[in-house]
Amino acid sequence: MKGVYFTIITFVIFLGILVYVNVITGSNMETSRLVTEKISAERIFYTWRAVDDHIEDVLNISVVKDNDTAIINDTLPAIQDVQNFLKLYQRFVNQTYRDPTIDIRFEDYNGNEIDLSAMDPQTLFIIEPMNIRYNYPDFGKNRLFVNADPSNFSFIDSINLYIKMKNVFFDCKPPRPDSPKDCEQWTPDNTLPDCSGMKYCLNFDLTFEDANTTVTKLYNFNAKYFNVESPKKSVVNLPVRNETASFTIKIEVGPLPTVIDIDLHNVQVDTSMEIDLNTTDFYINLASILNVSTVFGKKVDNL
Amino acid sequence: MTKGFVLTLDAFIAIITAVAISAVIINVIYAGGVSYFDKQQLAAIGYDLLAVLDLSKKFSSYIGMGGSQVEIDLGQQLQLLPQRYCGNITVSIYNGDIGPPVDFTLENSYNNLTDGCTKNQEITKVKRIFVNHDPQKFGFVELELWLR
Repeated sequence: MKGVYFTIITFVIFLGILVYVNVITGSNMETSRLVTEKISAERIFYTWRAVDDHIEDVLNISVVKDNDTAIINDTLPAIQDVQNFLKLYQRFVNQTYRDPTIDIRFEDYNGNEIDLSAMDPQTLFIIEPMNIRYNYPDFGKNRLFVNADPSNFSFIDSINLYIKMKNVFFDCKPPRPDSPKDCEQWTPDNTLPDCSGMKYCLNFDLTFEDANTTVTKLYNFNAKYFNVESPKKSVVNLPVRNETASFTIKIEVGPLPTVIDIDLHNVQVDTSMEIDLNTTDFYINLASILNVSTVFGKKVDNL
Repeated sequence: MTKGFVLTLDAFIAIITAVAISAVIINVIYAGGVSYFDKQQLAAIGYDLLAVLDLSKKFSSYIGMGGSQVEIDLGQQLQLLPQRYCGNITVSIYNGDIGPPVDFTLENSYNNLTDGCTKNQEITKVKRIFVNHDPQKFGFVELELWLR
């Protein structure tokens, strides 16, 4: 009888040990799974961020959302062949980052893999959900547009645009008092003293700085309010000159859906545009989706 | 008969005991090693370091810089790692041109290792790419991390 008791007690002790081992093993496996998933999630996140961050370097542009303002810093015209650069960038990502354990795809809105260089420059950056478009006719970036449909125009409170010219000087007064030409002659002129009572009125603050390095020469346009209701538009040709010739930069405001159209005629500039909206509920999309995935998960978001 | 049964039962219990104790020891050692958490921590710190250096334009600043100067600077950046971590960083800069035969040709590669470290542990690798617009260059950074 004693033997039976010993056997039962021993059996119970060992059963306890087995249960303990089982619990420890399960816990370790769970920890391993959680950590592996976390490492994978970090890998996906950082890979997505790295690929996304450098798209702006390829386009030579910086796009930032700051509360209710979209801030876009740009360099025009393009220094590089942007389409070729985009193609190379996509190949570089595929050849260095992509491997059997992680997939990186640029996709359209239907989930089909796309060629980045085939992105349409005319719908390049879109402020959603208002569908306000910051774009160029082509990747040469000689001309800059901001477009908005009349139904979404009321989301724009104001636009501030600062243009630093890098290779030309003002050829007009007041920055050059001795010049016979005026900087600001709107033809046609649909500028307004204020926006009161107007449905499609743009509050637009425009400043140019020339290439003068000794004395900073600025011109802040007097006109601040513009009737942009179709077919109304305001056009000004800013006289500038380089070492050999005089020419103009054409600035058009309106008619909707064109909010602003700036034709630089090959003048090299750095621009800083602030589009103030009447809401903070917006996001700025590039016309492509980046999908980074591993067997553990994926991040699929607009660039 | 009874004696034989008891001996068989004893032997059976001895085997179970040996297996159970071995399993406990293996599990305790495994849990005590905290290798999962170390690996996660190494990866997290590695990704953070590369992101900070990239976003502060550190990697782009190496374009056109002298090789020894870059390697000295890389050594200084590795000092940002916590004391108990070792790092081996390699920055490769490529020229890009649509092939064939190849799209990218290596222009320069720079490397440095945390002072006083040798690679004798399990290594965690993280990587990041970077791009420079003008001049047009493509960069690839690989960081190997391990515990000191």
